[in-house]
Amino acid sequence: MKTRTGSIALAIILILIPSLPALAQESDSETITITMTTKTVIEIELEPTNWDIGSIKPEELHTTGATYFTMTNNGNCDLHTYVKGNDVVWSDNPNYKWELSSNGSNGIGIYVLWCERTDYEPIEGLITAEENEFFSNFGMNGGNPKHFGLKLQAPQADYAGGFLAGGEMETTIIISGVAA
Amino acid sequence: MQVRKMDKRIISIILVTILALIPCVPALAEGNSTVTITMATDKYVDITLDKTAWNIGDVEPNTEYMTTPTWCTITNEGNCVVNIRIKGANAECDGSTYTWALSSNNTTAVKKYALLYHISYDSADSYTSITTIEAPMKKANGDTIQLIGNSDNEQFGLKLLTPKPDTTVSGTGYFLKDKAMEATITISAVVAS
Repeated sequence: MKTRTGSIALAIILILIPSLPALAQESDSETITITMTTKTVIEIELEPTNWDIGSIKPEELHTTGATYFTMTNNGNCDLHTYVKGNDVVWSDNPNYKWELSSNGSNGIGIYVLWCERTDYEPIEGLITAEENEFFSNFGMNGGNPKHFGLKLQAPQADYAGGFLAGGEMETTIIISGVAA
Repeated sequence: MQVRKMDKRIISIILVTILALIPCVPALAEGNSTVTITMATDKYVDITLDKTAWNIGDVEPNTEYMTTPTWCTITNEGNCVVNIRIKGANAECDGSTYTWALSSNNTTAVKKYALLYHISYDSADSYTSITTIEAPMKKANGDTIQLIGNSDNEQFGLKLLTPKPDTTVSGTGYFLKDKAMEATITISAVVAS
């Protein structure tokens, strides 16, 4: 009986021996993970930002010339750009408007707006109240600006020889960009 | 006659025995001897960090980002004295070859960022560079960080300097867009010798 107990004890000791080095640990390490993100910056610069047509009469066509505006991508990503126009509003009474044509034809109280581009070959595109593609894949290199111009045709006369509103009329064109 | 012969033999044997014992007498006269027993318990090294992630969020070029000076606590959960060491790594963007190398001298450049640590309650603005080469963590006075076992701890904060911009447009610098950068700092404990 004594011999058997001794053998069992010896066996346990022998089993434990290989485990001892594992318990002894000479070094340990932990890590910290740092995460951060770079931002997507969209910045379109337009120069100039206004077009003063001056006096306008019914049905008249006015144009800036195809390189009047310069658009620069000052952000850190390539862009798809879009353009849309708005109604023209009389400064003295916003109830008097010229609606932006959706089909390139003017009418009474309806004016037409086009953009002109000369980047590859002269292109004339209708600007409507809906967002339409303008310059696609507009590179992020600020040294590669795009040029364009605008053309506007006034509405037909409200009455023989003139418009009902006299004074300043104003509208805006919005050019937007999304990361390509 | 026989008896005398026998007596002589007995006397001779006794004499030889006495002579044989003589060299042992001085040994028996010494006081004591000592036995030295040596043994060693296993050293167990175990450190913990109470912060293992620092999410900075959106970063701008050439800008400094800091945690608080007591942001992270290193605790020695082992049973022996350890020296604390630290190293950093390049910041990498998953699925991209875009990386920021870790500066070796606190200076930043395009695609090169810097990492530093500050030991809490050390003199203000005393930051030490973390580089890709493992080095002992030190206080401003040069003392290395040594933690005795049984939950001895030290607190520290981090500072990160982002690289200079990848591109500059109209005077504003940018990184390439939408890069999720990740870097790791490894803090190690080794048994103090």
